[in-house]
Amino acid sequence: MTFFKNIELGAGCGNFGKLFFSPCCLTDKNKELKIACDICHLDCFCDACELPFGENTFGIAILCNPYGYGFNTKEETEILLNELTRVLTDDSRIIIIGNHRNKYCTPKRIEKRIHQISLQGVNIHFTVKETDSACPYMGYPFLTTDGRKTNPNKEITLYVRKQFNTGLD
Amino acid sequence: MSENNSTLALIRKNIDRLVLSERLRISDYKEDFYSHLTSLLRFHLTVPDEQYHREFQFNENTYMGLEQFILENSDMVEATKAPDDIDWDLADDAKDILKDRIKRLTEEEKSDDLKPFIESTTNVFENWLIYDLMHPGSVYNPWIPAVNILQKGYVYFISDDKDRISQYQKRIYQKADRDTHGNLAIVTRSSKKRKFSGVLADNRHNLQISVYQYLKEYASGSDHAVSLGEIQDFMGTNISRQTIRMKVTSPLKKAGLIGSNSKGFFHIATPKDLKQCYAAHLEKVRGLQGTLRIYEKQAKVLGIENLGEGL
Repeated sequence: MTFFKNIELGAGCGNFGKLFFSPCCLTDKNKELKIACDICHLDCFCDACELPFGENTFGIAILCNPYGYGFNTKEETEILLNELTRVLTDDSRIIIIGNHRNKYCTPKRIEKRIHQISLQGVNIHFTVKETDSACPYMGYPFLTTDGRKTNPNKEITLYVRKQFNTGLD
Repeated sequence: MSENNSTLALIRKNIDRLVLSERLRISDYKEDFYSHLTSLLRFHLTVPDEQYHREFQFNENTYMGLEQFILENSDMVEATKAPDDIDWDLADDAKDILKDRIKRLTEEEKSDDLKPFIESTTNVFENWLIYDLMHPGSVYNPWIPAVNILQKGYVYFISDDKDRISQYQKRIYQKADRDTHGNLAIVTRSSKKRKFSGVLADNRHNLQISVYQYLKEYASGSDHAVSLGEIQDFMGTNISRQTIRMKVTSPLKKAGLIGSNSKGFFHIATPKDLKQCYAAHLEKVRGLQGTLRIYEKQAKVLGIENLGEGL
């Protein structure tokens, strides 16, 4: 059985996670991709909000150009982050790569949502940087849900810290 | 009041004016639905993407892919460059106002029955608003016809998920064949409770793509215009000229993708072509304005003070 350190959500027909964050479990909820992709790299078909993995399993969760899910509303952010922080370990990261006009992951929206929601026992710290020519992902062909070219220009990292109850109080 | 506060106040005022139609007629929104899809298609046809190799079908994947592609690449068809950042708070607030208004209008505050309708309608509205914030007042905004449907008093759910659509309206799929089976459908609700109507998109967009590409290759420019008969021959099917005109050439003309003259249809390739199209339409408008002035004169004779009142 393969041991995965990281997880990519909504991976589609790509293999981004395997190229840059290996060993990475590639997931997508669309089962048709098994046939639709020229080469299907997916390891697991599941919804990003209902992951079939135990608590504290992964060190990094990657959302590469999310569309149709993500941070568009407070409600969907709450459900997604509750699930992601469940499967992530303490001191882990959520890396989101997208275009600044992508309404599901625009940096301002993500930052706002993080302040809007409260996750029990979890602290999240937010950083954002431009993906410039020095970025290792620049040559990767990022695509939309129907195979069009998209140019992600922001990399947002959410640093996840879990507060454990030590029982010492 | 800041500029954004005044924009939000205006949006709220317009949303507060929304009412649901007392009718439930496909003819009220069908053309807007198709026009919305053709407006999206404009970007597929005019923005080159060497990555895209798929056979085109207007399903949910294509719809969402185009949505993302357009919002990210709108500058490529607009003469203006969008600002680096838009007011996402304004978009959030406007969406919330619309969501509350639809819940109140449909009297579904406490139920989840119309959740897909609320999500779909607010999603379309948000896209329209984002595009408008990037390119204020642009006629290229592909969500204008879809927002028209809302303004006509219909909330809607756009999807290719047959099971979910059939929960509301089974008859939509009665005429579906293998070609249209996975296409997008729109199901709408007006003020009539628990009653829905809808349309499954036919394959006119595939025909529009073929004809556009044919004209681009063989009828580029007004000097090379081809007749409707020649287009019909190219299509090589049993589609009538009337159908070609209604489903293909007229929508492409309305979208500004092709032009026509006395010889036939052509791809608008040069400033001269565009000028010719503009002049032809201007002449038609002037003709109509002349007719309107005659009616206004007749109104005066008949003692009607304001002929356009209530229109």
